[in-house]
Amino acid sequence: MIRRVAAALLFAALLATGARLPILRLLLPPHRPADAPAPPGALHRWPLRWVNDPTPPELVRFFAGIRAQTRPGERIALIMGPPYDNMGYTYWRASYELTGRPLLIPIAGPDEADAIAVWDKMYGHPNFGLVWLDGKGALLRRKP
Amino acid sequence: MTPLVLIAVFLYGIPIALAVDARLRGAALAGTSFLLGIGTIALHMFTLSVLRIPWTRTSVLLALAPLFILTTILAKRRAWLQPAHSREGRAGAMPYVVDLIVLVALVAYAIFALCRPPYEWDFYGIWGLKAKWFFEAGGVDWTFLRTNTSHPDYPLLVPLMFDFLAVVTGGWNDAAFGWLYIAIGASLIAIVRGHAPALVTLAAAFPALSVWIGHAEGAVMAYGCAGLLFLRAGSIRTGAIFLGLAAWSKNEGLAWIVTAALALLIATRGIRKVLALWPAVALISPWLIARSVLKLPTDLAQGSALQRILEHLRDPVTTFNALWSATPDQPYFWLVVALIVVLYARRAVQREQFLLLALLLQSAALVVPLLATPFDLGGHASFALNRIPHQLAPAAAFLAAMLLTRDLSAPSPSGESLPPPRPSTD
Repeated sequence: MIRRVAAALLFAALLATGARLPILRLLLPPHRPADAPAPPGALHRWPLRWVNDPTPPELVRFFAGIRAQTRPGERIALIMGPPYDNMGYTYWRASYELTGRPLLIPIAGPDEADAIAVWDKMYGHPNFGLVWLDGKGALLRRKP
Repeated sequence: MTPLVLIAVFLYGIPIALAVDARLRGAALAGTSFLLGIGTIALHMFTLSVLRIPWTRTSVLLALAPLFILTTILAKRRAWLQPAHSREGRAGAMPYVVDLIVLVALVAYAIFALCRPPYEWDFYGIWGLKAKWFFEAGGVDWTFLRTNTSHPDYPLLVPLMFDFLAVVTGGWNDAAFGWLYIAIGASLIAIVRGHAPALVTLAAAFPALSVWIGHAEGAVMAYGCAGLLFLRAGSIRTGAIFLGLAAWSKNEGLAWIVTAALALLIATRGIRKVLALWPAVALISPWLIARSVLKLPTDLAQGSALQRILEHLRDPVTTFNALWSATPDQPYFWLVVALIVVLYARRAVQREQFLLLALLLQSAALVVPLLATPFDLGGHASFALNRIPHQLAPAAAFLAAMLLTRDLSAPSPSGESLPPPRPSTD
């Protein structure tokens, strides 16, 4: 009997510690995780889907604009103002949104690029001319 | 559309599963069918790219037809020769109530998997990035694979699964990829159910549902754990195929083949069953050859990996502290599993020796490569050890719950209390 009770307690502990209550809570309305801002740099030890999309909608629209303005195969340099000015989450998000167009790593500089996507930063380059401007974003293309 | 495609994948996988093991029935057959179906399809996508045949809905579906026809004939032939076996317990109404609770957990997980697009780092940086690039290129882009900086050595099964969905549904819709994770998790749960009583399945249900939507964790976990369960039950061929697909999912899957082989060697005290794992090696060989031909670098092997391991070992206190402070997700779950294994150590050694050994060896195999990291050990371990132990969680929950079942329920003639498994060649 004692063995059975002990086994039942251990089994209950196994269930309780293995279960994910936040997921079970999704069975109740509104059936989605609570609104929570993404941590800085999207650095999180837990799945990011528990927090809001770390990329602001205007940045997603900017990437879509760059995609529409460029052709597959064009090498793109991404120059962004802080906090996106590193090879962090947003760089990879941009890589994903701009598939087919090799995205140069930020430290490489624009010398190898066919186009430069600029976000929230004053930037000019003698070999590149402005071809598209939208809000905080711009696209420069190498002059012929 | 995506759920319909996944149902078609399941149906496609049924003859494949039966051709591999004609004795499969019920939940084990259902889970095996989907996992083998989607795995086989992804390998077809890879083969088409090797043959330089562009992916279109027609080319992909036509490529799948020969194996479907062949396995249907083979499965029919084998069905006449093999008696069916199912280890599912059906004593009374209790298992059905427990199964219903598992179903509720699965519904909750489905909401989680579909509530948002997979905007994880590794989806944008590795798995989704490669898949989307390949989809737009109409096949595996070998140049991109060689030149991209996003873990080029990682195997391609998961990106190819995404690609299959995109090719067949006619467009890239990453918000629908959650369905794939639901199907993979449900398949693993079904396989657990096919090997164990309902209570054990309940214990393994949440661990079998990967919270990392968009990563390859769900696939390597499902294939790896399913492989171990089949090996434990003596279905060496099925287990080996699953381990081969685990190796196609993530590099940890390669270690899984080695650790499972070692565990089999020790548990069976013979080499025959180890050699019977050859399908695992045969399955992963094309990728290893491609990796070698394309010279795809592995970050852990950059520079002198051995030197980095030795450096970490020379400073055991710092190394231990770095690893100790990197707690896994759900640490209390792992403590409870460890407690059960310790309390039931004799039973574990007598009845679950293979599974116990395989899990211990694979746990070590997940930690040791971290010592070769070219990055800061503490930072790398903090992120890796939070997520990677999930790969073992369903099998660990299975082991712990199996050790308890004998004391939890009286033996019944229906199979609720199972005899000890005996790994044997099928």
